[in-house]
Amino acid sequence: MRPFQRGESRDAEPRANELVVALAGNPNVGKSTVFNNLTNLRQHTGNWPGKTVGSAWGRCEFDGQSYLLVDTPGAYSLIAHSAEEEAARDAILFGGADAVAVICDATCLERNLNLVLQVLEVTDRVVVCVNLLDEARKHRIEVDLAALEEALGVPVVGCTARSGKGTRELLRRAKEAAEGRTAHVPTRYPDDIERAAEPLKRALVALGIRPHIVLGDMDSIIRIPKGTALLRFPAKKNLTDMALALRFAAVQGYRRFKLYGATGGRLDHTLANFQTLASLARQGHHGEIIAPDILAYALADGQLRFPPVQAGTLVSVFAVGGVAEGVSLKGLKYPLGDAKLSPFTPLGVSNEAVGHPFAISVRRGTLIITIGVPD
Amino acid sequence: MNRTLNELRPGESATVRGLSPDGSRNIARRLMDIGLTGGARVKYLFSAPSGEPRAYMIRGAVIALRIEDAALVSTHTESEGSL
Repeated sequence: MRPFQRGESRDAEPRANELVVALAGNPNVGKSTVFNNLTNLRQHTGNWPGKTVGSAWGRCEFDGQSYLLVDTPGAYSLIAHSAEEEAARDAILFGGADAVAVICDATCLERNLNLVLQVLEVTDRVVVCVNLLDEARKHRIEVDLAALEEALGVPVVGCTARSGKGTRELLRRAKEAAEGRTAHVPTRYPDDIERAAEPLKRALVALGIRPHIVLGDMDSIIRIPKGTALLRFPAKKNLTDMALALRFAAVQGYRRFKLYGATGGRLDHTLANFQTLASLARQGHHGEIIAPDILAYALADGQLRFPPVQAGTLVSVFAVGGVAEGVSLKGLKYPLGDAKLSPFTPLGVSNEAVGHPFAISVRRGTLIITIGVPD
Repeated sequence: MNRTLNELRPGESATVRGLSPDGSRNIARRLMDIGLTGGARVKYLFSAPSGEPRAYMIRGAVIALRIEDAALVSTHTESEGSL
């Protein structure tokens, strides 16, 4: 095993064939000790607020495989209650890790399993590391690692990081988890939740949609289809559920997004979703809001072509974020060529389709395009 | 005997019955995250000299709680001083 680099998280870009393993765990379970042991890094280990500020990273090589290890701040929960927990949550959920190693304290394993459960709700690429086995032995605690592995369906590794015992095994099993070779069975929720999830599940199945993840603060609904990952956020968060969901999906590598239920009863959330739609376009992604009465798209510095829609269908174009230059509308009742659209004048509202294909382009700026759905 | 966690005396243990919701502060959720769920055994160890915060043994770890947060936890004791 050969450690060969160290530094701050900002510079850490995974290299080709490198496995990214995020180390997660409650405070004071020895995450940093595991991390230091594997990377030869002399990170401070200790117990005071903000000790692991941000996420440290380091590299090591073992058995012909390179690893990028990301040490995250201690967290009791993915439902973040502090800046440290937020940093940990973001690193675990949005950090693009191939596997998450949840480090646990063998002397109070039960309490640690809360975080294990929450991570397993999001991904099954998990390895559980039961650390401080030496401490546990002093307290006459025996941990049945094989039974735990059987129950969780993901690799479980016993470890005494202080002396380096078990840390290499952790890498080996993390690789196994990263490659998806786990037997994790999706969490089964209490019967009332499972029952409440049934109607939603049936509706989604009828549409041919299988949810991968349910994400949000669950302040309005708690309907989780069986076998679906669940990701809860505190109600007091900075981003809307929709923006969080898109951020999560973008990290998974998705580039085309269809937003349903984005124009419901609340005007504030509707506006937020249009902002989110515009930001997708600015990031070069393709986003679409799909509502019973309207379809909406965002376009940044480019062109969108549309198939013919029924003549008379209303098509509106709005500049957002600033003046849109070089706006052209082709194939609509009121064509436009190389025009300037101001974000403060609704000049582009209520154009009409004429039954032909049409195209909308903008040289510089961002447009929101809405297309009415005929009755 | 049913009491809230803040009503235990130093050295007393109890079993958690449940938590009261506390709206947008969402401390109840936090308390569950640190192990205060139904059936958990908890022991009041001691308090800071000013009476707050108070140290509780929860699932193998000592955790400090404010009185107002401990008051969200309802507990049950079989008989006094059983642990």
